[in-house]
Amino acid sequence: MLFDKNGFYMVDVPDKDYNFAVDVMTGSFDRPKLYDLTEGLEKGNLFPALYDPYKNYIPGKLKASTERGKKLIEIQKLDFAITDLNLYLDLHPDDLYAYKMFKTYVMDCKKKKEEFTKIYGPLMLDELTDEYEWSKGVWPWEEGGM
Amino acid sequence: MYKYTKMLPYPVDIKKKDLRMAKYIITQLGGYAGELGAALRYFSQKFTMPDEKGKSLLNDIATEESEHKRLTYKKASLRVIR
Repeated sequence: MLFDKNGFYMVDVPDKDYNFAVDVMTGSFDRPKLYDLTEGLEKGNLFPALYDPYKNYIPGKLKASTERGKKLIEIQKLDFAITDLNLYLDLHPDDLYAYKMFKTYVMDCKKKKEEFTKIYGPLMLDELTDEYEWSKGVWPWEEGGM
Repeated sequence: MYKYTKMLPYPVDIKKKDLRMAKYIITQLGGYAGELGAALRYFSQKFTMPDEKGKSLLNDIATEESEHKRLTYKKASLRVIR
């Protein structure tokens, strides 16, 4: 059977992940500790309790050589935080603190994207500019785009 | 609806041309453990999920997995071009 009588998934999970889930569900800590935005994107994980380093690999530091790159990394940081909180909230929809963080990040990201669009053109088709700029500029897969 | 964002989830910049590495990286795209397989697998598994958590989580993971293919493509292609 997929669920036990308490409604939990009956799947083997590593102790660390299990403890984290139990802590959240029983309220042992009132909110999950989070990495800051930079460390989050660098490690690809917003939750220190769930971070598993790979052997002795140390994630590289993010740096951009252009002004556009710097602005875009700021957006990517927020975008990552939103995605990771989204996945967390799928499993813990009642965590109001995490949802509050999620809302703040979404609002910040929107603001940053608007500023970016004004200078460098739209990131998505529904971000409007004076002229049609969607087909202009560097694409993400080209050199210099990211 | 599928919507394109002119931005990758993580900045990718390749300094050195390396055809052998390009060939190796592009193998991570297809196959039974590749990015394409992962994305499509989650997208199809969500249809059989019985509860809210399962449905939303699988759909969101599938979306994220399909972002990975963009990173893989760029990592491989820049190693050919440079």
